[in-house]
Order: sequence, then structure tokens, then C-alpha cells
Amino acid sequence: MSEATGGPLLNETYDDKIVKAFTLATLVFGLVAFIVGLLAALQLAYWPFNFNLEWLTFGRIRPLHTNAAIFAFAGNAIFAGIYHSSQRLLKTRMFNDTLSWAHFWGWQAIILAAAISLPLGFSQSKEYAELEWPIDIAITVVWVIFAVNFFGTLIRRREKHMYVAIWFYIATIITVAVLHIFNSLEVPVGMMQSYPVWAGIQDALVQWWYGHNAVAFFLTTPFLGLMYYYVPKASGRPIYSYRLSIIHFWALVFIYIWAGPHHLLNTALPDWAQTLGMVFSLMLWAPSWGGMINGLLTLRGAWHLLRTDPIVKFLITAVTFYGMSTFEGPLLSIKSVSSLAHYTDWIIGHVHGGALGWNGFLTFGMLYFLIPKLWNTKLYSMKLATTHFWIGLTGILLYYISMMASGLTQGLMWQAINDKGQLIYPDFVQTVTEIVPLYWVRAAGGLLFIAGFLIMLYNVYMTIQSAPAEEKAEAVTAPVHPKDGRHTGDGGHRKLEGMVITFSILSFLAIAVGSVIEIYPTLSLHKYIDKNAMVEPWTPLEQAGRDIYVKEGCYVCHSQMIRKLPFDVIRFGEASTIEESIYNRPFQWGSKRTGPDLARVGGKYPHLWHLRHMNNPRDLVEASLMPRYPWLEKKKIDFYSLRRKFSVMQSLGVPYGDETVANADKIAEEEAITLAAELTKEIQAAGGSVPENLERTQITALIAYLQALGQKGKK
Amino acid sequence: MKQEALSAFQYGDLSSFAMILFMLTFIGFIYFAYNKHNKKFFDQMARMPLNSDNEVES
Repeated sequence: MSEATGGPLLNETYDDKIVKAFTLATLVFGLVAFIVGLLAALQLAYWPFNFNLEWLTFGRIRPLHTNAAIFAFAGNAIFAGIYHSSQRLLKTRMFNDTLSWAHFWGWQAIILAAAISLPLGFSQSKEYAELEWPIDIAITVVWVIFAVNFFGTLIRRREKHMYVAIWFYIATIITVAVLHIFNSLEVPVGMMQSYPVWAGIQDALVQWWYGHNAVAFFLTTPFLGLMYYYVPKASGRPIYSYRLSIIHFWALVFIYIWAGPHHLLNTALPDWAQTLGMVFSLMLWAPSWGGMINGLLTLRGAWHLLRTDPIVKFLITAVTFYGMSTFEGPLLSIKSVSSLAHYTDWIIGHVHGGALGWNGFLTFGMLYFLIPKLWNTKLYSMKLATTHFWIGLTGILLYYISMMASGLTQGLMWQAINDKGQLIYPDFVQTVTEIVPLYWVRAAGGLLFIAGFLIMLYNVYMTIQSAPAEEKAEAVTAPVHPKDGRHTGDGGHRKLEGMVITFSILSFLAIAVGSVIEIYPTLSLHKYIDKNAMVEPWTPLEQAGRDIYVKEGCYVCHSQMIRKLPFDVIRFGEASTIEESIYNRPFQWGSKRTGPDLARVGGKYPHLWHLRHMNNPRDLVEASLMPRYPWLEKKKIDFYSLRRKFSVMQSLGVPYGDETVANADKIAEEEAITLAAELTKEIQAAGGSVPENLERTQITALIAYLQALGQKGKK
Repeated sequence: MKQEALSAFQYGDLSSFAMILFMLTFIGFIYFAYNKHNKKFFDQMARMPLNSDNEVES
């Protein structure tokens, strides 16, 4: 990089303090996210790791892990990279220091709120959107602060043209805002509780439009922007093909937004939406691999760096993982492959290949590059960084292979049917005990990943220790050729990228087209609904039980969606219909079956079975992995809030009579007394002791809900 | 299967229109990206990260 010097120095410095802050936050929350992940992994291998504490059960820890990994670890990493690279690419300091710090502290406050509220069970039970409404509002505010700061920087930039990394940042900021707002449209029913305005199938479609694009626009586009900046920086050579990066950007942004329904294949979602999701997922192969090739071939002529430089090792391996994950993703989106892989650990393996390999390693590579620069010193030990790389890589491979093996095993066991047309493994728990050894391997993989990360923390600590005492702010340089942008013959796209607002609007249109076409028809629901198959909404006590089900995060292990697949129907009963979940706020179709589907569990067992099962699942299913929920027999049902909840439900269009709404609490109390009496009889017949105040404890509401699942609309 | 997949989707003309529109847009981008006229500019753009700070590296 002999000619890497820019133009003359200007009387302005880059704000690297904010970059340092985001860097340190990335490291701190990385550790938290990984350790909570390890705890979750251990809980699946050996249930006593739930510690019989409601705050630490898997249903609450898993959302904490995913939110910490995505929004705390990856989020802070993105911000560090964006703040560092944008200032340099745009040749200006960030727009406003106060906004930068408001963004930083606001985001950390949100993380803290998440870390407290999720274990306490304040959850909307929509994946990666679990946080309750006050935090949703805070996220919106902080995101707007970030956007104003970023676009302000764009407007005051000295470099006319926007490098491709900047495009990816713009797309990220716009799309995440749209996704977050639409998926978080909810009506509060308490300080920390809300119901989404969407219900059932709409909620499912909006949620996975959001969920998939959280992957696309929080874990992919910003990281691609970072790739386009830091791979050239670390290797000292320009990106392989700038042309390819243009195609990569527009194709990716346009196509990604359509892919959400591949999370709902073979479900009650209308077939056309499933097919659309599948086809667009397959199309993603092209831009994703274009981007991967572009990243990898940047090293052409400098492949030796891969041997000698741990930073390049991390970055290029990350891009390779991007390639593998984006190959696997479309594959999993093919309906027939999905019928095998969906609800299994294969998906867990898939996301961790992406999260640990692509997001994790890209972040590590970027930070090893950044930290010595930010603290104006040298990395303490290249050797330790290399060690981190190998230990981490081994960890990821162990993780991925064990989860893929686990997923295939369980998926095939679910499908296995003998020549009489019966399930070969009718006992669901059999398909779980089979994979427990693999859960230990996965935990070992996670442990290795953490071990590597601890080495990094030590390395970073020693590096910062060796930093000179006085901080040195880097001066902004003027663009090398200020006239570059003004030469004649500026073609269409070149003008376009000079114009921030036009460019942003076009990016917005690219994502809006897919969003509208996909979601709009589903909002005109009447076309899909069979009026004769409509079901009764939940009774007040059932709804109270449902709120407990949602709060405990049961959806992380139990689906409520029997797919239109023979082996699903034989195992769990008739395929679920749109009508059955039409009033469900939030929908609880689920995405993973560590336990059986519950869509038709109602009436399958006596009340007593559920009572004992929730108290200790192993009393009834010896090999069960499920945590105990003994506190449900102690905690009281919140009858009082039911009237408010039902009035909200009614205003959202659930056909409750005014009578029901006005007396929701009394009706629930009566229902509870009836159910408790039935339960008491069952307990006495079995010769057990009756828990106190049964008619007022949460277990009764939960049993009412479980017993109603699949029972609505039965003739 | 195709019939079944499309039975509830009542915007058939929209999909034809969309396909043509998307194809044209895509071809437009390919043309722009691979137009020889733009090559020199792209090469400059590609060097931006390398020109973007003032420290001199070894």
C-alpha cells in the first residue's frame, strides 16, 4: 500500500472514541451471548441445567441467547465497523457526536433491558422479536438516531461517490426500520405485555418476513458492507470485481425480502406464498455466491496471506462460511428438503454455521484489524490470534456437524413408516433420546468457540495495555482526486450513487415491492378462509393460560402446526388449518420441535397428567428433557387484567360478545373453579394430595389452554 | 400442482407484468455494470478503501 496516503490533511479528526466504545461492547456482549448459548446447549443435553429456576428455564434462556447474539454481539460489531469505515470512506467525521453517543448508550440500555426482561418472562414469543413494547419503542427511537446520524454524515461527506460498502449500510438502515416497525405493531395490554395487531396466519407471515430479513438485513447486508471494506483493507488489494458488487447489491436486496415464507413450508400458509418463498430463496443462490466469489477472489495473487496472516484467515474463512450457509439456505428452502429438515436441529446447525462462521469470524477478523489501529499500537500476539482461529474453527465444525447429524437423525425417525403404514418410532421422546449424545458434542463445540474467544479477550487486553498513554486522533484527509466525481459522462448509476436520497428511495422500493406483493394478498384473508370451518375464540381462562404459555416461551421447543405431510398427520392428527389459529395473538406455530407438536394435544391426556407433567415431566415421560415448572402451582392467575385484554381482542376483531368482555374475569374464575374441581377429583381418585388454591393458580389456566388445543371447532 | 398453487392467487396479470419489469431492470443493471465505458471509474471506486486513510503501512 505504497500509495495509500490520501490527499492533504484537513482540520478535522475522525471520531474513533465511538468506534472504541462499540468495539469493547462487542467483546463484552460476545462473551455474554456465547456463555448463555452454552448454558442453553447444556440444558438440552442434561435437563438439570435448568436449575429449577423459572428465570433460567430453556424457554426464557434461548430468546436471551438469540437476542444477545444478534442484537448485542453482532449489533455492536456492525456499529463499530460502520462508524469506523463510513467516516473514512466518506472523508468526514460522523455527523454529530451527541447522536453517536446517544446511539451507543441507547443501544446498550436496550440490551440491558432485554437481559433483564427476557429471563423475567416478558416475551412476545415471536422469534428475534421477543422484546416487549416499551423496548420496541426504544429500539425504534435509537434506530432513528442512528439513521439521522448516518444520513447526516452522508450529506456532509467530502467524497462524492459512495463506495459499495456504504450502499449495504444504507439498505440495512432502511430495511431494518421497516421490518421492525411492521412486525412490532402491537397493542399494549399492560406495562410489559401486548398483543400483535396481526393474528394467526398474518402474524406468521409478517413474523417470518421479519425473521428471515433479520438474517438478511441485520446479519448479512451490514456484514457484506464490512466485508467489502475490511477484506481489501486487510489484504491490501481492491475488491475483485466492482461490477460484480453492483449486481450483488441490487440482486441481493431485491430478492432477499421475498424469501421469508420458506420458514412456513408445508404449513397452512397458502401454497402460492410457499412456492413464492421457495423460488425466491433458490434465486438467492446467484447473488450470494457472486458476493462470496467477489470476497474470496480479492485475495487473488496474495493467497499466501491466508497462511501467514490470522486476520486474513478469519475474514476469508468467514466469507467461505457465508458461501456455505447461503448454499445450504436455498437447499433447505426446497419444499421436499424442508419436509425433512424443518423443526429439526439441522436448522440450528445452519444458523450457527452462519452466525459463528460468517458473523463471528468476520467480526473477529475485523476487530483484530481494528483494535491495534484504534489504540495506536501493535497486536500483542499474532500467534495467539492464530490459535484462536484454529480452536474457534474446530468448535464451529463440531457444532455444525453434530447438529446436522442430529437433525437428519431426528427428521428421518419422524418420517419412518413401516409397510403397514405405521410410525416406526411412535414415541416422540425416542427421537429425542437418540440425539442427546449429539447435544453433548454440540456443547463441546460451543465450549471450544468460547475458549478461542477467551484467548482473543486476553490478546486484546494485552494489546490495549501496551497502547501509548496519549490518544492520537486521526485527521480527515481530503479526497485524493477531488475532481473525480465531476468529470463529464457520469452515467445513470454513477449519478444515482451521488444522490443519497434517490439511492435510498430506490433501495427502499427494491425491498418494498417484495414486501407488498407477498404480504398484501394475505391481508385480504377472506379468500382463504372457509366460513364453515371457523372456530370459537379462546375462553377467558384459556386465554389466561395461553398468556402463560407465551410468557414461558414454550414455542422454542413445541410447534403448534401439524404440516400437510403424511408422517406429521399420522403422528399428531389432522393437518392444522388457517382457521384454527386465526385469533391467535401471537401465532405460535413454532420453528423447532425438541418436544412434540401441541396443536391437537387437547383431550389427549387427563388434567392430572398435565398437572404432574408440568411439575416434573420425568414422572410421566422418563427420558424427557423438559424443564420442571413447579412454580405454576404456586403463582396466581392474573384474572384482573382479563377484561382489558378481552376488550383489546374485541377491538382487534375477535368475535367476543360485549357480555364476555365485560365479565371476562368472572367467567375465568368460574371456569377455574370447575376445572379445579375436576382436577381435584382426579387427584383424589389417584390417591394424591391436592395442591392448595388450585382454582387460583396458573397451572389451572395452563391446563385449560392445553386441553382446548385442537378442540375448537370440533363438531 | 401449479393450478393448486395459484388457485387462491388472483393477480395473474400482475405476475406477468412483474416478471417483465424485473427482467428489464436486471438487464439494465447488467448493461450498466458491464458497459466498457464505466470500467475506469469502477477501478477507481474499487480502490477507495485503500485510499481512505492517511496512515502509511509497511
